[in-house]
Amino acid sequence: MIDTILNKRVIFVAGKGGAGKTTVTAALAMAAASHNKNVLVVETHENDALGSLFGQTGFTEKPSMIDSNIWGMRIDPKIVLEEYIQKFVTVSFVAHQIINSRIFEHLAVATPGLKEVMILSEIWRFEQKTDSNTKTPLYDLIIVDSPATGHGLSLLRVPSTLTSMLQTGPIATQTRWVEDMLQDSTRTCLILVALPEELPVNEALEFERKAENDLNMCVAAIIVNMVYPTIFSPKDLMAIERMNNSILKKKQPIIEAARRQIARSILQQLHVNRLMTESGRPIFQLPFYYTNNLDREQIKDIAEHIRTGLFKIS
Amino acid sequence: MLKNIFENNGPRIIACCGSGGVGKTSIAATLGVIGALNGRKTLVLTIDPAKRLADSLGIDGFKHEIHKVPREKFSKNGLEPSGELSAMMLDTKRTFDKVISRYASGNSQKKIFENRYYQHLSSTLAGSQEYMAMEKLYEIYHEGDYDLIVLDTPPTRRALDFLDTPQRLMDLLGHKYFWKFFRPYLYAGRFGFRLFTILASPVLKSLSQVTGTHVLEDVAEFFNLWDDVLFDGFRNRAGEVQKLLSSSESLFFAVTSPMARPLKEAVYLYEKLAEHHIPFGGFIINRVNLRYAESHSHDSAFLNSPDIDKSLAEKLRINFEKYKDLGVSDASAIEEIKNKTGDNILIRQIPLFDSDIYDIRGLLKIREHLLSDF
Repeated sequence: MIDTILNKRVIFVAGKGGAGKTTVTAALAMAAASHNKNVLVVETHENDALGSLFGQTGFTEKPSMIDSNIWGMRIDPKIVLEEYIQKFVTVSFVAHQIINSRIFEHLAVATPGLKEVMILSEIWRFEQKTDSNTKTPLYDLIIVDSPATGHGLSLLRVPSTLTSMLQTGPIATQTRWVEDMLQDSTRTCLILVALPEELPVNEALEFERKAENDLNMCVAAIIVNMVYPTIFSPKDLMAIERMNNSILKKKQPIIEAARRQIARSILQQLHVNRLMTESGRPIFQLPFYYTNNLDREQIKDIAEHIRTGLFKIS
Repeated sequence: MLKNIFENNGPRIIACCGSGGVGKTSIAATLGVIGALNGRKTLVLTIDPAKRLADSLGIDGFKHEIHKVPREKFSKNGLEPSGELSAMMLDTKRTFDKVISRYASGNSQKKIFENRYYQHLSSTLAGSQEYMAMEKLYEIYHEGDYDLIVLDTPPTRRALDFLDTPQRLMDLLGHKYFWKFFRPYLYAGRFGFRLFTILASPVLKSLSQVTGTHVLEDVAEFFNLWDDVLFDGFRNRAGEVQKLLSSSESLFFAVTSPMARPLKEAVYLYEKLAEHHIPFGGFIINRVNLRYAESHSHDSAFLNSPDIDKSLAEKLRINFEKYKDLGVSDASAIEEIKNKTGDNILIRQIPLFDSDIYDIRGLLKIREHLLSDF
């Protein structure tokens, strides 16, 4: 039980858009919190989806408590950069001049990697924070709802490219600390979220390969989300086909729904099986809830699946 | 009527916008098939198609080249299109490079391509993929080889950023910052640019302490290569692209699934398009679950027959309830769009099929539902 997911300090939840990263982030947080961990969930993009799962209108740049043992925050790279400049440019009126200048605005968004490094540095800063009395980490676990695949990869790739680009200066030093954190598999891991469909499976496999080969990061597991549960046994299947073909005089919606369930389930399992064959990591499945809009109870249920299943994987 | 848009006086550009994972590429490909079947010479411009779809259309591996879908792909399905269908995958960086080579002189072209800041800008900077999709569209439109171009846009909100103003692109390229901050320090070293000219500015000097000097050097070199001709060329072009997309030559569709978040995104797109007076074709809602009518007790009466195993009967009932819920959940999501947009907006529902869509045969199933609501 030494190296389970629960014992990491930082988890990046990544995957294709629409696969359910935000839901998984929220459920992971709830599951970890139920193990008495202090959890910080971090949003790195602008929609307030994560906050709304906790009944909040949106996170701010400072952590706020959103549930028992769970804190939430969003990272605005521009604000982090402003803080940096204030810290490192000693003459304060020059610092202000920089922050208020338009070139700063531009460089903040357009400079290669600056935005990403600011996001990651802030995560690092919170990973390092300790309680002033007990000297133990302020947050046991930081869970990051990462940007969709392509942008998620470039976020994590930045430190290694940047350390070679910037040899000196405070950001260069900072970037090295961040790189150490990302590549330390006892502290940091990735959890990839996919759907049991062709493209999301491809993306997850590609992400896994790049994480391990290029980023030198640990992929703890791949979660396949929204998997139709297996309801009917092979024996049921035959009975259903018999009913469909002969016994019943007209098409029955009940039988139609059953056949639909079977067909979709088989199709999904083909994609799941491919993922299992081609991936080198544990594959963990989460059920589909037959709805478009998960409620809090359902997210708690997902958290329970994670607690009893995913957390046992090591 | 959706059919009308494929007639000869219809739009020459159809754009499909929406979040990732909703099946936008399949919808765009289907619109392309319909175009070809209606006698139009059609091109589908896509970003990143599923491998199997690209394979089955015979376009896999043809990055940045137009590839014609072989006629046998149609005849195998009993169709003889009077038009034709081609497809092409977008390559952001190459499109960007082409724009540069159109306006920049030979010598600065090479330097721009080699500049690290440009390499970042052209391939990874948020917004460049979205803008370049539009740029490519405009280019193909003007070459005039196709009667109909169907664009599968990148899956982000930014897909519509180009609408705000062409100025946005200029902002992206940092035009005004250049004038304000770099130019004065560059004049001195026009032909032998050195870092000390940057460091003469107290603001830039301090900034370089934080970012390191390399970054600023790259940026400054990049700007130094941009002259007025290049900027003006870019600006004018952006204006023309914007004008074309808001003309009657274009028609935009919002593609979504009934899931809460993509749906919200689709409504946002609709509002944004309306705000800019961009012709809007309607919502295409993909992967909709069939709504089962309220079941009557006699419908399930057969489950009580002694021929049916009791536990199976129970499973069938539970399963049916789930599918009913799913149908209701989807229907109410679609109802919500109607409430937000009024009754005059076209909404087409494409069912969630029980098998993957990856070939012309599958696209024809989508076509059936696109052209007649179920």
